[in-house]
Amino acid sequence: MLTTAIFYVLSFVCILAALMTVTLSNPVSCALSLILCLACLAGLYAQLAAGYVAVLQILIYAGAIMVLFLFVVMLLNLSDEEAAEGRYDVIRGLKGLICFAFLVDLYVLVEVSLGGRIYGCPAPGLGSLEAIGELLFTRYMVSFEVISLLLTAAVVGVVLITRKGPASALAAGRGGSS
Amino acid sequence: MGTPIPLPIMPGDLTAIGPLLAVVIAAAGFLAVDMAFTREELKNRWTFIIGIIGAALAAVTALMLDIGTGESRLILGEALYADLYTVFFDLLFALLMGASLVLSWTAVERARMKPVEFYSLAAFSFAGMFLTSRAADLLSLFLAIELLSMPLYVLAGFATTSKTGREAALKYFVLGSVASAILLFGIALMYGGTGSIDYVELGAQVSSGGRDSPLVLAGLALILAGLAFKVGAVPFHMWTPDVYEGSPTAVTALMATGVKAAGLAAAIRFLAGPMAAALSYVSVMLWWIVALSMVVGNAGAMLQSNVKRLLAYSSIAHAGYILMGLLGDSLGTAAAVYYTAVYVLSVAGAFGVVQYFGDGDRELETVDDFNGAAKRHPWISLLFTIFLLSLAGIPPTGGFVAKFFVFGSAIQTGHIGLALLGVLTSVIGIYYYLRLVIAMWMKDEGRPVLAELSPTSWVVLGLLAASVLALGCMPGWLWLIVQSAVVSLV
Repeated sequence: MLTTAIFYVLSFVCILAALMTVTLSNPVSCALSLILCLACLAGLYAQLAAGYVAVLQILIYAGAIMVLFLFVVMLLNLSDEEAAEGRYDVIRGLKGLICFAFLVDLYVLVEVSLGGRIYGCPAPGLGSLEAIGELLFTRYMVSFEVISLLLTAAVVGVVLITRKGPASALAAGRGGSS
Repeated sequence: MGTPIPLPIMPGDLTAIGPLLAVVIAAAGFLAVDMAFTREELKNRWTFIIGIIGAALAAVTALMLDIGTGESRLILGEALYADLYTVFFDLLFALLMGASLVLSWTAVERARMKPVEFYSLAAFSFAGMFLTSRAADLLSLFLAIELLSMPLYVLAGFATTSKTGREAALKYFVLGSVASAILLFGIALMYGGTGSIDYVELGAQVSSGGRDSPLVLAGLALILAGLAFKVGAVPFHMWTPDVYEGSPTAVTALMATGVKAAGLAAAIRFLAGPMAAALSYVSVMLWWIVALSMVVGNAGAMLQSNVKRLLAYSSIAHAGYILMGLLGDSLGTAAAVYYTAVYVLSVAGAFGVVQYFGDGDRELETVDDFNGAAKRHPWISLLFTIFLLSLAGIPPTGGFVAKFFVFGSAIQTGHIGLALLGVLTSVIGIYYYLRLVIAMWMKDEGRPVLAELSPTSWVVLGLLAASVLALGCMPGWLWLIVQSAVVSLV
């Protein structure tokens, strides 16, 4: 009973925070809402017996990455996003409608395929550090290594983007403001 | 903890991922070269040497794989496959890497990129390509596609100063990320419906009544959509013309050849491998993707005057032709693989030639810019004509044989309407490819300029043209290899 209540509270706050992330106009508030959303997700992971993932979620996403986000937002000195013209025109409404239809569709999908079916409780030790470590170096070793490649590629890419000469940096700055 | 758990590396596994290791080592080598030397000539020379060694090593290690009885083998914790299919695509990608090193060099420098920077990122992208053909589960598939896309997001935009270039880079990045998200969402639904991400396990579940689970169907549809995005098939093609036009030509060449072939390699493995049972559930969707790609791609290309846009639209159409093979039986799948090889060789050659036209900073852009090219530069015009004829599907080039195989298998499996549509749209294709040929050979008012070609470039372009012709005149040997490669898929 209590776990169900916690689940609903976490889910509700999570969805609310996600909505706030995309609707608020102040970038800092958006980033903070995203942190709240990620923290609630971490709570959901913890409920699914994935304690390690929950801790990582807090440490890496809510902690490191979002702090970086906030730094960037503040360094760029972004003010409130200006209200786009024709904010509620037909096309936007249509896009929203499609997204909403997709949401309903997804709900029906999950309800039809999983409704009433229970996959059972996780085995003891699932989601523990040992279990994850073991999987990471056996079944998912290749994926683990490929992710490190991916990160290396990303680092090289970032270095290249930032290592531009003064001329092209100037051009990029002009492009950003136009 | 108790007994130590051994790493899942069996003898021979490292040979089986040899091409992947070779390009990763090459990528590390490029980075080392960038740090070790200060003089540009030294950097360039060593970049070229390391790149060629990497590509050659990839090809050699691909050939070293022990195929055994021809059955597919799962390696490294059942995450990757090793079979004739991977060898086939390894050789294709290794060839592509070598061709890119030789042919794109001028274009890279023209776009104000340093070769060492370009090729260090491109090498990571090639690593992703080598992975796509061997992915044995959805996680490896996703990571492979990310690894091949991410360096290209950077390459598309980091050196560009023009507005169209920045627009292209941003479009490619944003839409590519959306495509990845769609793919990932499909994977998540698939996992939610079956509890597994292994192709083999998924295939077993799908063939034993997976149809009851709408989650699996939705997952399949979304994965197919994500892959269609990567190969630029209609209705997920919107980004292709703008991105191909705006990116530096060297990057466009990579997108049109490597990325597309890798996406197709993944799609073929996914839909014709252990998951073949799932194909019947998405065949209607695939039918529409194929039909629309052929129509929109060819009709769009007909209206273009910019050469890169024209090739972009035509690449959409070719994605349609190749995916048509998947609707057939195993012969159709073999036809799709054959078509992919021919397409990659022809487009690598076509872009290779386009990259050399133009001088200084300027490239030749419109079809009219090529007016009279044959008068001034007959040999390269002849090579370009061969590649274009192959793309148009005119005998005696490989393109004709590939189209013949694809349409033939479609007719045999009852997709007569689709085959008819394919033939009709190919006729449109002939129109716009011949427009370029006519501009080169029959008009004389223009004066297109050609950058200087090194002897190696001539050799590579000549080899590409010769292989395109060989695939058209004696398709038998490759057709046999492709057929046994496809048999090993299942």
